[in-house]
Amino acid sequence: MPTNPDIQGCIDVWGYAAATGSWLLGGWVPWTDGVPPQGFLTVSLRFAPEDGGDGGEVSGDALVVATSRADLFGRGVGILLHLPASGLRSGALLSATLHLPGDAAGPAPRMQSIPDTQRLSDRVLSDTLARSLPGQVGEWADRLSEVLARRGFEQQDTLDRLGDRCAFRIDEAIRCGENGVLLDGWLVAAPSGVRAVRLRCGLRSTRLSIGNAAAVGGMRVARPDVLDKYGRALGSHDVRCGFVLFEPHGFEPGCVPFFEIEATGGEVAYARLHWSRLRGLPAIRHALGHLSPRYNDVPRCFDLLGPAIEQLNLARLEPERGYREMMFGAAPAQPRCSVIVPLYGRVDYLEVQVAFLAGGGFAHRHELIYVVDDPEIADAAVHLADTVFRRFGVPIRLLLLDENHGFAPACNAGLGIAAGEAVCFLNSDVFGLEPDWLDRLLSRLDEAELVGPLLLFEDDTVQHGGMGFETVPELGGWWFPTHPGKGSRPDGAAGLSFHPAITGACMVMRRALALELDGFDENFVIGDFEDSDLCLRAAERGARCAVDAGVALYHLERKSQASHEHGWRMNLTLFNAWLHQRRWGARLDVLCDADPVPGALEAVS
Amino acid sequence: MRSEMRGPLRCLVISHSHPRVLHGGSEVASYSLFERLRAEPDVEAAYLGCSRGAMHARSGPSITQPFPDGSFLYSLGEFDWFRFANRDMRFVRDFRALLAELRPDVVHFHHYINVGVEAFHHVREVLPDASIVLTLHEMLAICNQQGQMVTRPDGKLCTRSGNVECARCFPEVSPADFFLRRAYLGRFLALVDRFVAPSAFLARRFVEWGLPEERVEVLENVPAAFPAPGKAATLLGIAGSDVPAARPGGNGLRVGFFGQISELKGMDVLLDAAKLLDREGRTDISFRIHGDHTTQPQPFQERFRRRIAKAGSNLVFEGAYRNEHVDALMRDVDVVVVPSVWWENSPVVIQESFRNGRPVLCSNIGGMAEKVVDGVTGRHFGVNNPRALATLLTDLADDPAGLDALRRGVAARERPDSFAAHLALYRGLRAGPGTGPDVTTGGAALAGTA
Repeated sequence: MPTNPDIQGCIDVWGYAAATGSWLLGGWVPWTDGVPPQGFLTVSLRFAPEDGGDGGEVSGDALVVATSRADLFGRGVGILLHLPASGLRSGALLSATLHLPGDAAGPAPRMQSIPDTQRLSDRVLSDTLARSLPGQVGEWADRLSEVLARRGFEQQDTLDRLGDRCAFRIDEAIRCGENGVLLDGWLVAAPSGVRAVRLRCGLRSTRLSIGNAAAVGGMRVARPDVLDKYGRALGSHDVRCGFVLFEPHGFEPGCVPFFEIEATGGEVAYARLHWSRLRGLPAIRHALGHLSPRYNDVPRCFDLLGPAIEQLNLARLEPERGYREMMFGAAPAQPRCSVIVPLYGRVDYLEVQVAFLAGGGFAHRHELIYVVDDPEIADAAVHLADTVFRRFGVPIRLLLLDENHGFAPACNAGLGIAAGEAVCFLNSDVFGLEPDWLDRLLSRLDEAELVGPLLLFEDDTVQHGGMGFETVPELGGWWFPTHPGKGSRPDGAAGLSFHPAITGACMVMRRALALELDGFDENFVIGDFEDSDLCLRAAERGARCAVDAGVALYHLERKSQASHEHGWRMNLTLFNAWLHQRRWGARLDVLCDADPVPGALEAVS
Repeated sequence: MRSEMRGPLRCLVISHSHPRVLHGGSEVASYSLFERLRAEPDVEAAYLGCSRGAMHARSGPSITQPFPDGSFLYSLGEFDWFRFANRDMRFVRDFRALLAELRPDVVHFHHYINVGVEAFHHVREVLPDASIVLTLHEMLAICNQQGQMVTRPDGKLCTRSGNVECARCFPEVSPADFFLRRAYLGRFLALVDRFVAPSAFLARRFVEWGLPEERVEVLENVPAAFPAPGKAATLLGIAGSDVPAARPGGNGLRVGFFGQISELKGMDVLLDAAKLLDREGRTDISFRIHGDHTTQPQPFQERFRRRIAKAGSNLVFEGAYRNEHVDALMRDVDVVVVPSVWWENSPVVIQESFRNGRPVLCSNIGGMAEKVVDGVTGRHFGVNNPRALATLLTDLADDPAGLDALRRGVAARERPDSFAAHLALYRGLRAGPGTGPDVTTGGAALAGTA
């Protein structure tokens, strides 16, 4: 039992052992009778503030060995302690507290540093502790003895040492930002076979939430293929042995990262970390490929992985973006409106769109900007733009992006070169069959700041007549855009109707407003939610969104985008929804509760 | 304002092909129109044909004059066969230059393939006052299955196109794309002042599809000049008249088939009827098949050859024939059969039969049934029904008086002067107030969904 709480023990030696990636301590705690504290105990180390900053605490499961010390005259026991944890602390160790298991009475035994206790390093430290061990018997002493004798990671995979207890593989280790990594892999372990898996780099040691421990920090993934191969031999039935997790601070510059797998018995094996070559969209696609979260798994999944996707997208868009502009014919110097159309995948829509813009005076009043957001179709787009210009006489500014960036960056690139007093963001699969549709939408800009047309499917049913929002329990209970009336026959109402948001498939606003809003937010990857976000940001500045039902265009929305199939594309939508929810969840709670029937807030003719 | 009334009527006839390139019915029809126009004293006519092959292509210009008749020939470039969009940039330049040079009052298109539907737009832009006339041939705008309105792949007769219906025949194409196809075609067809349909059937189909009825006119194609009785014709005993040669006695009923030998032309119906009659021992009814099968899909060719080899002695396959021989060959039969299993428009073979005094037995649908008056200039039988055809043939063989009555019906048939009607149409368009479409509507009305 610990005795008088005012009497505290003392830390004699301490330091960080790089080979084992752990804090090692030697000292004593007051202890008069009973079984002394031993085995795996939660230990907290308190450090002095570093360079004037906060101090801090490191805590975790430590291997503790109690030793008998004649110099304590029965008032205490010697303590040797091994705490695997990150070693990034430059401040002095102030104290160590041993948290006894829940039913142990009395205050936690504590050791304090005396002011001139030196931080020892590595070998000296291990040797010092090792000298205290002889004469000690028992499992914990043996284990510590093994730890102290352990050689560090020597750039070699040593997983075969634990071959009878686990199989471990990282399929992709994708770099996210400066110090982060997204890990996609699996671990099949014999029951109670693995104690911990750590990512280590220099003095950093990060315990990963995989294996037998509940996957708190990562998403578990079913890997029947892996279980098939290793499950029988290892006696594991856990099909969800795969994982995807994000560790935002795993690395130290200049140090080699590796994995440390600690078996329950204390034995350790190492695995090298091979960086994935995946970058940008393929990396995002891979990261989201194995997951199919539903219901309350959805927020957890994206709270964990969302920041990684954000980092990957940021890195994707960060480099100087290259583009070329080609002119076919001369657009008016001061166009009334710049129509900005991102082109991706299918190029032939351009021909039909322009065919319907020809002949109605469009060429004299407005400019047409196609942003080719797909290097694979660049040549075809150049050729088609040329023949379309020659056939129909509508000048085309063609902006060719070096890479596929997605809807928001493509629109923003177009916005960057637009000269119109107004802009119209238009999807390539939206077709106005009446030549004056644009002029009619523009004439509404005095009544609403963002104006869109009624969009119809090819069977004359409504595709879009204003956006509302609803929560979807299956998808984390987040707010998702709805399109009231979609698939129904138009109700025949004419005139403007106001809505919380309108689709970006066809949206007209003054260019000044678009610039003030910085265009679409590029954090939304590829194309989802950025239109709603833009409308809600505009609304914060007092702008109104409206649909002019008197102007009907056709939107041949592709079915692939509408399907709720699992897979990375669906997860990307969820990522965008996560961003949208973080930004607008609270606002929509208020807005949409106040208006139980989203959409059609108010109608004027 | 329409062009001034003085001066000759300038006409440009445009065909999707050229009789020197391909000697088909519509090529001949357009060229005959051109020749008749050229012969008129107060008409200036020009002809622009098309060629898909590289035979007459020159580097640089897309429109050349390779033939001594001075007609123009456009050698095709990039073309989209789904929307009939002509993406050839040389064509835009050269066609517009040709229009500016010829300045026709009337541009009469036979078909829109090869030139592309944007050609109407070019005419409107270069010559805002010119009238645009379009003769419709197959139902290509309506139906992506070669304009035949026959379902794919089961070959059933189709009566109505639609985005979803068409995507059933072409699962690889989405309804949305069929919507765009129709919208695109409609956007340019809306620029046409007058549509000419060689049959009321075809006119009806196009009006149902969306063409404005008031702009559609039923006018038979201008027939090719009947060959003058030259030396060869005299030797074959052909006189340049409609009077049929007397039926040689004792030969029984001689049944002729003329034209392309294909599935849609109903070759199997004909062969099945022949087989039935052979089994029944009707040696007095004999079949002669004239035509080419070598451009058909391989499986059909093989089946046809197999069937011919196994056919009874009542049937002879005569092979392909040259157009200038068709009259002599027709006069060697008593009736001509047109057993097509698709609608047909206004088959040239019916006109050819009539001018040789031969009654026509045809399937009871579409343009065929319209051109042959049942019981007067020929007989109808149920489409795709070999038994009905066989019965009809036995009846005729057993009733020579009935056959004679049909011949008299053919001789006495109405023969409207389609060329005069064409000329009247042109003059009316030139004189009349602009009945043409308003360019600024962009054709939205036509492009709307069905």
